[in-house]
Amino acid sequence: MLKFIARRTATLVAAVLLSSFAVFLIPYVTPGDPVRKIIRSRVAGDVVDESVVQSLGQSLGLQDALFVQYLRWLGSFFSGDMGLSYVSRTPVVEQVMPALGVTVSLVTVALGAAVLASLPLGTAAALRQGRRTDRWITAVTQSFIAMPEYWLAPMLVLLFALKLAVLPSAGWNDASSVVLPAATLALRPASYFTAAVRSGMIDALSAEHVFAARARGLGRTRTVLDHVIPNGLLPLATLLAVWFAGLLGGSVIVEVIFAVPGMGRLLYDAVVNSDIPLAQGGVVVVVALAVGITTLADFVHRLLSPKAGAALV
Amino acid sequence: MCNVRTRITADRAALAVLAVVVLAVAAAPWIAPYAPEAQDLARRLAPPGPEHWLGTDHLGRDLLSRLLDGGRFSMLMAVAATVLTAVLGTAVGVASARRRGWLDEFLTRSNDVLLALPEMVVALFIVAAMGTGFGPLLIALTVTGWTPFARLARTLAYDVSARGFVEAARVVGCPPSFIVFRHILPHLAAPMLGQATLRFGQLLISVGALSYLGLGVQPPQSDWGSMLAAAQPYAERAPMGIIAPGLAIFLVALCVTLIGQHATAAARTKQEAVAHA
Amino acid sequence: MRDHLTVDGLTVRDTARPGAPLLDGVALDVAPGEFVALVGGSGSGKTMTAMSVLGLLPQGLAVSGGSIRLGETELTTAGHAELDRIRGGRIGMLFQQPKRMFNPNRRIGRHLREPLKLHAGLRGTAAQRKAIELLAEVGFEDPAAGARSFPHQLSGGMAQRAMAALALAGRPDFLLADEPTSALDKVLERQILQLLDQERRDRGLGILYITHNLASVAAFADRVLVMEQGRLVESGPTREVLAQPKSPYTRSLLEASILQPHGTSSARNGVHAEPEAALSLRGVSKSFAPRRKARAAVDGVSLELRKGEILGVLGQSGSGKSTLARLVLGLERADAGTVAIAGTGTAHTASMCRAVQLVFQEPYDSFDPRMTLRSSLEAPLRQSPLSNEEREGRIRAAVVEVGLDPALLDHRPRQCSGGQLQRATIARALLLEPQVLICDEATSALDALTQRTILDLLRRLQRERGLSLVMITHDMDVVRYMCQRVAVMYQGSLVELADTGTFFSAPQHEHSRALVEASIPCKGLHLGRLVSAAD
Repeated sequence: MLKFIARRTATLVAAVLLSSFAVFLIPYVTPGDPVRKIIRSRVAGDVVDESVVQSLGQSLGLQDALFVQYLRWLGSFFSGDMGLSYVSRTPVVEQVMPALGVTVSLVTVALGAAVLASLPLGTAAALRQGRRTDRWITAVTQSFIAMPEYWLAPMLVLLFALKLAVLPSAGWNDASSVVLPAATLALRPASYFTAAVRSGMIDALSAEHVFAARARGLGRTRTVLDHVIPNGLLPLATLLAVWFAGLLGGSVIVEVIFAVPGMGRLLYDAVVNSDIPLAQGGVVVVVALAVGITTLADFVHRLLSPKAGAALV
Repeated sequence: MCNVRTRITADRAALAVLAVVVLAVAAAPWIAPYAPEAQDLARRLAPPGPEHWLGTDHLGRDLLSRLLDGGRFSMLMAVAATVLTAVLGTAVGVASARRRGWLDEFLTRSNDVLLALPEMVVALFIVAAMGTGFGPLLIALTVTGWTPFARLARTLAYDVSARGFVEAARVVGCPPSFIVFRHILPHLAAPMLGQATLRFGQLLISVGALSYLGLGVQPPQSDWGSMLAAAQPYAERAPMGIIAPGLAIFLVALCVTLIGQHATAAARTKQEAVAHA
Repeated sequence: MRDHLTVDGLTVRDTARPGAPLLDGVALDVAPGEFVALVGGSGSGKTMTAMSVLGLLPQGLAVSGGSIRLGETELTTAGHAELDRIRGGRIGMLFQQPKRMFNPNRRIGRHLREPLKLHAGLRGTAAQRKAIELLAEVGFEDPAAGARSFPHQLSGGMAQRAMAALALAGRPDFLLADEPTSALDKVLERQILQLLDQERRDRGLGILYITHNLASVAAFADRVLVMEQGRLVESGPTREVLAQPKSPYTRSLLEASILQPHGTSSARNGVHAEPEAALSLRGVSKSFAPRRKARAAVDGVSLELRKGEILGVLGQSGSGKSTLARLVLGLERADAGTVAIAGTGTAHTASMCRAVQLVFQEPYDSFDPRMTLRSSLEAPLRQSPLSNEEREGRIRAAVVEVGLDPALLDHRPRQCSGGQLQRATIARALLLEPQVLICDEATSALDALTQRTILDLLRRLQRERGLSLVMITHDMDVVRYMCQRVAVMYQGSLVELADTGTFFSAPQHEHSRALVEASIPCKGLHLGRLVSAAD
């Protein structure tokens, strides 16, 4: 277990370092003078004079080796100084953190809804495996996978915001504004979750150790509560973490369509406006969180399911 | 048994729909009623009717013709990305499983890292850095897209390598290339194909998403994603503008996914039958 | 008088399929302290009988007649609560695949606390203490560590011991043991059965032992019941049934389970072993995790295989015998020591690989299911400069030599029987004109009659071609039948090397004695002797 934790933590650190290094290089690999771009992310006013650029570059250490610059950048980054946004001219960190909060609430609601939908659906399908109920549930939820969010979203807007006028079509104001984006976002995970619950429950129900528990005198209900449900829901737990991590940066489309001021929207704006510091901040935060959550999920999975975990190393 | 029959019917229906769409899109220049760029400003946002089966868009262009034309880019892109990621992923996975040691460790870990990166964010950045167009878009989809193939190929290649007949081939002196090409790859073919069809649906949606965001195909060329984006401001007056391209993506993705899932299931059943023989 | 477990006229049907019942009038009686064996081939209804007793028939099957009584209690009509008390509390059960019968996500100790709570009312630390006690009773050397381990961390033998502790935790009066040892080797089998037998003697546990293995029945059971297609075809005291089987079915079961030596000396007289070595190993070692302080898989083995001899290599699973074979074949690289083969140099060259060939345990796994036998057999000749006709000729000759019809060459493995495939494996090896053939459990996946024909084929090849054979096995009967000398591997080391006769009459090493003992039954009944006495 210790070796496993060490390995996974090393992977986590490597992932964050690699991706942050790639992000750090953006000013150098995109067209234009890197020194001016970096100065622009550090100094609020516009600098035009070449000599001022020179001296500022000197004082920011831009003549140092790339690696040294990277370490300095990383250091200031993790102490909360992510530079200034090109567009708003305000510190990036002040934009990233609220956006992260918005995305986390959106994703939590969406995945919560997906879990709430998939538990009864997946269980019902598993209990009636191969019969009509199972076939319908499986067919319908599987078709969700093929549903593009940028199609579903306008359709939902058309129906609920424009025709019925019961929900706002965009924005992020009160509780009602979370409904449509969360519903759109929940559809695909709900499909995967239902499949996971279904197959997890089928495996758990038919597992021979369940029969053995009955043969030792454990009652039917207790067997289901003690052995079937915990084992059957394990795959869902892992999947949930993976989706949570993925949606932190993966809700771009939904946030853009519904004008939700979250991480996806922030990254999209940064790319469209070539706002390098904003993009750097957003990406590093999203990747660090995503990798952190998946690593944590691996630990938990390993704790809950030692045998599967042993095969993972 | 009833289940098998419904399954085959569903498969056939999916295949038929797919065949119709692919043929129509391929034959677009010949069968489209109008040129995709032909504007008829007098008939903007026209509802479906005998002259324009699906109506027109905000510039009075025939929606059906644009749908047929736009499908080419979406599908070609998705096919290219699927093939590229499948080949790359299979090669990496098999190499990983065969060489083991540090190479395996390195490839597996990079796979883990890439898996944790949000696909859309990576694609956004690559397109932003390299510009739009077929090439950059393909790279954007490939960078993270090969990972599921590599995972599957590695697991399968590990399993096949542990089988007795691979050992037997080594004992009688067959070289590694023979083992890879005659024993391992043939065993991987069916599951990898199944995975490819599943991924194709997702890639088709991703291509549309990038175009929808204005980072994919550029005007005057269009695809289903960009058509959807262009029609959105007029959604209330002419809903067909968003319904049609979205439905096209959904139907194609759904049909391919269905076929893929059933093919994967069939391959698995067959493998199990072999294993239990 | 203590309660008996009595089954009378038990009939079980598939509710969806009217027709012949799956169990038809089965009657049996197990007294306290009695060891009763229920014998039959697969599908004969043995397991279904046990499931009926526990009231746990699979969905769609139902008891349609007869009675199952535990003392005065009728089990076929008992309520859920009563059955839950009886399961584990009065009737325990052991299974064939112990590992699959544990919840993979729970520690052994937590498993044990479950029946302790249900049937003994123990909770918390008291239950944990009792659990550790139980593990000690079934032979865990470190019971506390055993309680902490997860099922997948136990070996097959330890898992079955833990399962026994679990089945006995509720202090049942009867134990249904459903093929509890068929996944284990002979030594472990004996240990587990002795454990149950001890429990029987100590506190009068009644045992219904379900098996297809007649040797263990002869060794342990007081009475035998034979089942065929859902009916009892024969029953009686073990000695009577095995010595004078009345039904033809019992006779065929018996024949299939005996491999009698062809006189003790025939194998050895077949060829005069030349003193020259066909293969020699000097101080060969191999460890798979050199950095961890794990025991080496093969530890300093020195061994000589004489030309034309049949050498048996005995050992339990994990003793290193298969790794040794892989080292000789060049499939693994030795950490230390040399492997030399007559006529060629040392070390792992391709030519050496060819001079030593291998026959595997699993016939269906030895061939790529996608290829015809012909393409599989062509593989060894790929690099030779033969014309197509010559190649085909060679393949046909080899196939005929092992007694196969060349028409089979166009078949795929699935279309062939296990015995045919095992012959084809031998043919594939012969194509390379090897000097040494290593048979790694080559016959243990085959039924008894096929096993016999393959062994005879190997002996013929050894005689005609002057091959040297290495028989890696855990089956003492195979050694007795085939081998001139025996090598015993234990924990990676070669602990004994002796002539077969000497080995069986006076085994030197402790582990060798255990092996030899396990092949001789404890109640004085030896299946082979029983049957030959009756002849």
